Amino acid sequence: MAKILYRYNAATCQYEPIFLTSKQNTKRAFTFIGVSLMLALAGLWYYNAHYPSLDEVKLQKENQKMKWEWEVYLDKINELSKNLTAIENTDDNQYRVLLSMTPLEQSIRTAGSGGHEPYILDEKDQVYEIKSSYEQLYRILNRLDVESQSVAELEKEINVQEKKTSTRPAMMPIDNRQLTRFNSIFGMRMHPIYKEWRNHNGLDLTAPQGTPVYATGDGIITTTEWRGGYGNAIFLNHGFGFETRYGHLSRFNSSAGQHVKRGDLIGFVGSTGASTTPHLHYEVLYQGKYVNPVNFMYRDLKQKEYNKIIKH
Amino acid sequence: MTKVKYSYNPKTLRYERARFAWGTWTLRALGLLMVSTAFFYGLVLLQNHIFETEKEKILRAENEAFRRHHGIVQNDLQKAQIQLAALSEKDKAIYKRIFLYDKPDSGALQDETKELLHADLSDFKTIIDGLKEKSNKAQQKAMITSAHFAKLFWPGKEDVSDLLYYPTQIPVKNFTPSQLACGFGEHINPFHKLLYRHKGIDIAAEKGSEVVAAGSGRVVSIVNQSTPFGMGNYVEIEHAKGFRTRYAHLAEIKVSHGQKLKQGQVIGTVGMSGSAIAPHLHYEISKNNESVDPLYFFAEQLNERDWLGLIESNKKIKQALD
Repeated sequence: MAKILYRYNAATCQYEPIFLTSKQNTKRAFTFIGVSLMLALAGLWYYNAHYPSLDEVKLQKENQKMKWEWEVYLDKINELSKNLTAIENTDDNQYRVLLSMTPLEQSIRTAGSGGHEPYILDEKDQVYEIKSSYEQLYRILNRLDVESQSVAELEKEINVQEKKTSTRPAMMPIDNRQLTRFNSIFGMRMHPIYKEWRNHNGLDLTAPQGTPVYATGDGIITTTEWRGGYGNAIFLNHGFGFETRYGHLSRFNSSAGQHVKRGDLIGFVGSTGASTTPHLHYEVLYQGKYVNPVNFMYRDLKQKEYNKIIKH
Repeated sequence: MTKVKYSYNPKTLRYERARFAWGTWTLRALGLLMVSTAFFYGLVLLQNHIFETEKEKILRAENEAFRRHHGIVQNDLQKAQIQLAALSEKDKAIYKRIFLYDKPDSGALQDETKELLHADLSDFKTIIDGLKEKSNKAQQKAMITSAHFAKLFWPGKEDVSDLLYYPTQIPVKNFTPSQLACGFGEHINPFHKLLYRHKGIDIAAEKGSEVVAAGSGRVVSIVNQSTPFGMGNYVEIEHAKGFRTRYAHLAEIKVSHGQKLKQGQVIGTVGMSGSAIAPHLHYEISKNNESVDPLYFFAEQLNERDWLGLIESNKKIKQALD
């Protein structure tokens, strides 16, 4: 409780308490409000000069958060692009080189024929993060499509290559353990029966009667019948220009028209036709010409490995 | 009327001159401050409500844009990621079909650094221990390699001049480690897919890229074979100290029998003559008729990391290109 103040009134010679009139009171109140308003305005001026507005702070915070979010997108996009580039590089520099295919033109890769349209942004959406995200994503999506097409092409080519390698004659037609003599003369030689110089178009692998004979590559059996000097003969067409022939067989284990795989048991060693002792006469033809089978035998293959391929 | 104010002192029963009222004035000042602060806040809020600054406008638009597009970008990103994952699977399958072994992880090293960066303090010890072990292993490897090397290359005093004639040049230009399709030793034959002894190394290269002599020497054999089996067109060069090098499956041969060659001289171009399933150079080195691993001769021209990487990758069983 404020103390009551007095004033000395010289006229009445008395101390009189000081009371404020209502007019004085309002005046005081207005002064008070006015001064505080002035102070507030000064404060506002200072604030505006030095600090951002409230909304600005709020928006800025929000903006920063979203920018960080987009930063993460951009990072992810960047990583995506890097991984894709790695795949593209192995495609061009390894697969295509090995498969003798021409590498894709860089312009095809970058331009992209994927059919993804660039995203057209409104004027108001031209924010760096959004713009570059879309630009990069659009390019990546197109590159992905191009690479997918390329991979499909590669797969097709690999299928052909695999067929080529699996059909090629590439093993001994009989097990090395059964082999008693390997006559490696290919070309002119004195024929043991006809007793004259004749071209020997294959190799003679001597082995006991009934030794299994294996198909040396995938293919289709074209002949399983008696063929003059060959005796019981199997002709096996491998495709890609290769054919193998197996002569003097005692028995067949396959029939014409049959598809066989490398290592399949197709017949048994015998001495039919122009033969003096049980043996396999083995021929390899490339584009209709006799070639030396020794190139297709891999005789130094280890037994353990050989056993993996033969099927009984 | 005087301005002097008095107050009544009940103790002395007298009117005394009022002293300056510190308390009252402080209260008044505080009140003023509080009210003006209230006004200030009010004004700030009002201003914020009524006016929009240029910056606010930009930020608001930007935030709106972010909100509008973030779903689309996320969607596209996911689409791309799924597509890439599928592609990467296919790529691995293709790699395996071509090379017959799993595709090596290229990002292994990067992951390790990332791991280190994100590791807790307690994880550090395990990581550091792991690194230590690895470095020990690497050191051992280095010692073994160096012993190999010494065995191959340690020259007697009288041999120093011969070192110049060693076949140390990599026989293709601009060789990169990824070109080594298959190394020396037991590998898979591309035709029957079984293990066999690969007496040389296969360097995959584009058809027509130049093949150069690994060292100076004399051409001792040139064979032209157009049939798709055997070594195809090949050149054999005799170097000093019983070294011989052989370059097979060439498309074109540009030297003649008996010709003297300098190291790095072009002898032909890469092809796939003979029984090659892909264009490559089959390269053999022999010393006194015994095949040796040509990779050891590449050390001079590769940096240590690439070379060790090659030696390491060659330990895996790969498919030869024949």
